[in-house]
Amino acid sequence: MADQDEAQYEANERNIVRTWRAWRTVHEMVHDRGYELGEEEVKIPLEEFRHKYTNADGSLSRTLLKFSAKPSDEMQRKFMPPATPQNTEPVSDCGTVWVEFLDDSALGAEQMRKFGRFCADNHYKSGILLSNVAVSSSAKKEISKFSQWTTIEWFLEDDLLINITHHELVPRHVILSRDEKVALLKRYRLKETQLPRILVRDPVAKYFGMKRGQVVKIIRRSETAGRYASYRLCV
Amino acid sequence: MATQSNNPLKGILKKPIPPAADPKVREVAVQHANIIQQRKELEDTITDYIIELSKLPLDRSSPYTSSSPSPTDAATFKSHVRLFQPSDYEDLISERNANGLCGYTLCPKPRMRVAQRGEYKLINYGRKDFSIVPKKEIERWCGAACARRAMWIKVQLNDTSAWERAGIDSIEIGLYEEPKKTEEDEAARRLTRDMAGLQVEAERKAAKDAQELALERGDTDEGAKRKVDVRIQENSVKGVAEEPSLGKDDDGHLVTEGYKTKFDSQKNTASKNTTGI
Repeated sequence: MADQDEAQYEANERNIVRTWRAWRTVHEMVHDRGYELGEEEVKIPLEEFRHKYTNADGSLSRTLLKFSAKPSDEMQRKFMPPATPQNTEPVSDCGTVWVEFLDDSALGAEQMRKFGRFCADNHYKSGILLSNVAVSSSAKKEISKFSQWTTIEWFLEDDLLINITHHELVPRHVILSRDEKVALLKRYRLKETQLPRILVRDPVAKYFGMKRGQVVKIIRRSETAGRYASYRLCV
Repeated sequence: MATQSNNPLKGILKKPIPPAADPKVREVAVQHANIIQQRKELEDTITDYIIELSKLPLDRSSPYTSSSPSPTDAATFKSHVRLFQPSDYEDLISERNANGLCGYTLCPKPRMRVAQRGEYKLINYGRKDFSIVPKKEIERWCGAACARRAMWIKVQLNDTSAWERAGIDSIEIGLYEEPKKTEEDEAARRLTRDMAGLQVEAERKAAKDAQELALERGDTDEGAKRKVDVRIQENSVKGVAEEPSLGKDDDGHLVTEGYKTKFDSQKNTASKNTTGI
């Protein structure tokens, strides 16, 4: 009996640590995308996490694991579409983001629909759903149905245990704004299609929530040139 | 450079044609938009059905099993799955599996879990029907019987889009183990079904024939609505009709458009003869 308790305790402990790491990574991700988050929110220590998000019996309460973040002024400026005669006062493409950890044993179409509806009803421009179980194919099809109102992204907790952008082999990625993209294409006299490409499902592109058509600047270290910048178009 | 700034640049391209204000164009656009909207709605209903069917059977404690499901559940399943494509059905199975249920919609049992690790599993070891099966494939069902029942449904599904089949009532999905009916009952049922099928088939054929005939005669709807007014005017004929003749010469029949082909057959054969011998 004691052995069983011990095993259960260990499993619970492992679960808490894993979720804490995913919680940290998702905060870093939201921060890196340009949303406003405080330093103490991003770098939450394990003890504090345990104190805040566990029930009295020491088990994790996933219902509490949710937060929203507002885009910073800089980010809003970056993703502002250009003013046109028809649309003299454009609204920024980015809005408040909603992040939630799935509190369910399965992620099917129903759960995805619930999440999408919640994000759309509360006017969140994008929603990030973290799941610890696999996503069914019909759930993925649901995402496109909400594209008119909100952008839904989903991540597996397993993929967010470490922050991949902190790895030494991952160079710095910077998303270019519309103006910067136009300037780049003009400077090198390129068409969009002549740029090298990066897939939407690329882990780093997913981390930054890139959309098709955006350009990312990748800054590498170079032995000969010091720094070397290359550009990739998201497809 | 100074002169350039005075004269604004002028494009050499043609001015874009303003969209036609023809009400007909708008009508066509609206019609197509409506069709697309209908398709979207149908796709939404299919997702609704997937969600609904992934929760069946509603009453798990009842004596009903997958081989003899409750009539209401079976009816719901049959009426909903009618619109599915095989890919939608696969989605339904994976959705049920995600909920921890057996892939067959009418089965109340949870899906099988294989404790061993490894990609593959040996089944029926030491028997004639021994085979090596991916573990994933086994874990989709509660047993081989349910897999068979589910596949029985799948092979009846059609690959054509749902909106093409939505209106056809004669599509009916049968379960693997329908309760055994008496021979006569079965025969009568089959007869009515065949009759319905025949009638539909005959109607379709008649419509198709009529359409083809109309096309052949040229009295189609498009002909009536033709934009250019076609008016046939007869040429007035003067003089008496004359039968064609070959002309004065004897070899008029050799002339084509006033030219007579010439070749010296004698010479050709002669030269052939000299070289040949």
